[in-house]
Amino acid sequence: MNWINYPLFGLITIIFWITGVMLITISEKTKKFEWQGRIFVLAGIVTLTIFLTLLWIRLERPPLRTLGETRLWYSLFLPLVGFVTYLRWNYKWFLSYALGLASLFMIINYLHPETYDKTLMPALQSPWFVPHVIVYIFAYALLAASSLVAIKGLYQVYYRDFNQTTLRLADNLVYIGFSFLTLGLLFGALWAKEAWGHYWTWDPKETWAFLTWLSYLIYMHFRTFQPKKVKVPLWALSLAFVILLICWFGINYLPSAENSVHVYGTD
Amino acid sequence: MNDRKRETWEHPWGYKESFMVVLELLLLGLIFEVLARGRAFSGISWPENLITGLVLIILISLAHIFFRKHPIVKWLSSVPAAISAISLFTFLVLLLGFIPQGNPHLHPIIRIFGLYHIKNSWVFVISSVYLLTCLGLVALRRAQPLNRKNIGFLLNHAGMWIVLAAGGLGAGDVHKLQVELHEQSGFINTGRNQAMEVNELPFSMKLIDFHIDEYLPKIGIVDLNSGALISYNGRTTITAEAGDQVELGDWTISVTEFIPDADSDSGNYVFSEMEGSAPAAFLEVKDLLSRNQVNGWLSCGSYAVPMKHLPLDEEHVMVMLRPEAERYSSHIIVDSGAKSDTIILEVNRPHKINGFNIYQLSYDERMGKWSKISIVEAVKDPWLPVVYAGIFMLLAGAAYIFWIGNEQKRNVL
Repeated sequence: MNWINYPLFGLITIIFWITGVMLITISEKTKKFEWQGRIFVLAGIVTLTIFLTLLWIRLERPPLRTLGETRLWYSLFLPLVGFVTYLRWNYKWFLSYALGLASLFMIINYLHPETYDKTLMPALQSPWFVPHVIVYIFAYALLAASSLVAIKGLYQVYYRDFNQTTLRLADNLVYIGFSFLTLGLLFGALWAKEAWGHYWTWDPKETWAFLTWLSYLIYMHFRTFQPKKVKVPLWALSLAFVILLICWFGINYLPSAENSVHVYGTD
Repeated sequence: MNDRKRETWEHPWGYKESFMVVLELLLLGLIFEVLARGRAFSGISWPENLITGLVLIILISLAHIFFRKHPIVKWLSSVPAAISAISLFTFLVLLLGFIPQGNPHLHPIIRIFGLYHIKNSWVFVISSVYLLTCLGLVALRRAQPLNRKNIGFLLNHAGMWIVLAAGGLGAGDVHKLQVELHEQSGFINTGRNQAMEVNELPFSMKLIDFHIDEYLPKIGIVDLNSGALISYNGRTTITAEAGDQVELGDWTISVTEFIPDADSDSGNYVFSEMEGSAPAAFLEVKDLLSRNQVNGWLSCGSYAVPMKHLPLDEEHVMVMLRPEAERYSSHIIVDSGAKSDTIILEVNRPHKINGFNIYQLSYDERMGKWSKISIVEAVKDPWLPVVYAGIFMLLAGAAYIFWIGNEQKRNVL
């Protein structure tokens, strides 16, 4: 199992998801095919999980090193978040968004395939590696979801159709995402002490992860102080995601990041 | 309460006043920086840093105990002040994220305002003190009553206070010494700090053996016009393994022979036990378009063995890259004075001794796996337990946020 099998697995996954979303959408009133729809969505998630597991075994290292590999995890976690959110609050549109975005990332991966590179530098060979990156990717997926909700909220505001439940959903996602972001940051600090001798070296990636953390921190404080204000937090949440994106892959292009130990291998 | 609109600077202060204060702090810091003329805030070390920390704690506690009703103290523990403090800090970290550090000559503005050493700039110090004041006051305010709701709040805010304060104040007490160990040398008990000054260590080390395990070398095709490895759909290299037949772009590559330790013998490569031997592979490369076939040896070479490329046509040449290290370790005797231990030092596996942690850092990369030198780093950070206490509070706080979420807000709405 390797990237050669990716188009097949990716295609099956996306077909499952499209079928699932269609079944759930047509069951808007009747609820007739909702169950079948859910099973299709889950089947897509399971297919992708199988691919990731087999890829992990084949590479003989966790597939968490290159940007393409992290995109793959993102495509797995975003639908999971979307699915759980949909089950909990019954937001069908949110499930479609999450699956759509995940499919987009999978198509990007299809257009830019990765190497079979098995090498993993010694600094990455640590029990911290997997929890550190998975926790981060899970946080990114949740926070991306919160930004989607914020954009939807902005749309509602400008069409005078705003409902506080939208912002409350965004808050829930931010709170859970933020706790995972904190875990990722702190796991990184504990690992850095083991690997490089200091828990915080202001490596560009650390700096940008910290910036992401700070921007969501500002959002959360603003919300506790003035929960009735709507536009500012919605815009802030959309902007915070830009910082997250810079941290995730924009960093590879920043002049200040030339010597970062975190710049992902893209070869 | 009343309908009259509050004037600016009339209490209680809100966002407007908070951000004006922050702007003034920023200006104050920049003025300090200009006056200091490039002299960075060098940090403080033992015992001044402990005294500073205690003074900060005492001042914040006194303000909390005796002036908690004072409008300024109330404002300092309010959300607008918190947001202004985080924003100023975020702004500085943002500069840190964009401006490459350490080079004052990028731009006059960067030099004059000390933006090339932000972590040691005056404005960073001022911003940290402001942030610690707000954080400290709000943590004390929520310390009683110590109920379930406040515990999560306290873990996060007090934890953050401890990490920031102990990390910042303790930075001056961190000792980082690099030690270069040679296989034939005796015990060494000194190392060099970042300023290249020699310092004594409270233990000594002797290198018995340095060892590297390497991955199989990678093979790629270089475009002679650009001099760069060609990427075929994101794939630039393959791994050399005997018996492999792989496609890279328009070429089919068969590895008929692979020798991990080889020496060149008039154009051929043969197995060799000599020091400095390099990996070599015999390839058959077929051009799928023109059906041409090229055969020959390929080696990345080493300091003792010449490297060998394989030209494919006028514009393409096949190369072998130096193998990457999979694992490297030093077999070291560590003598703490009281006893002597034999240890294996590896990346990600530091060894504790006499208040120091020793880390496998590097080796002589020119010699690769034949390196006789191991570079290790000895680090002492006496404030680490305090920082870790803060980190564990924050971990618990994050777990709290995860479980409880924004329960409070649900009640507000």
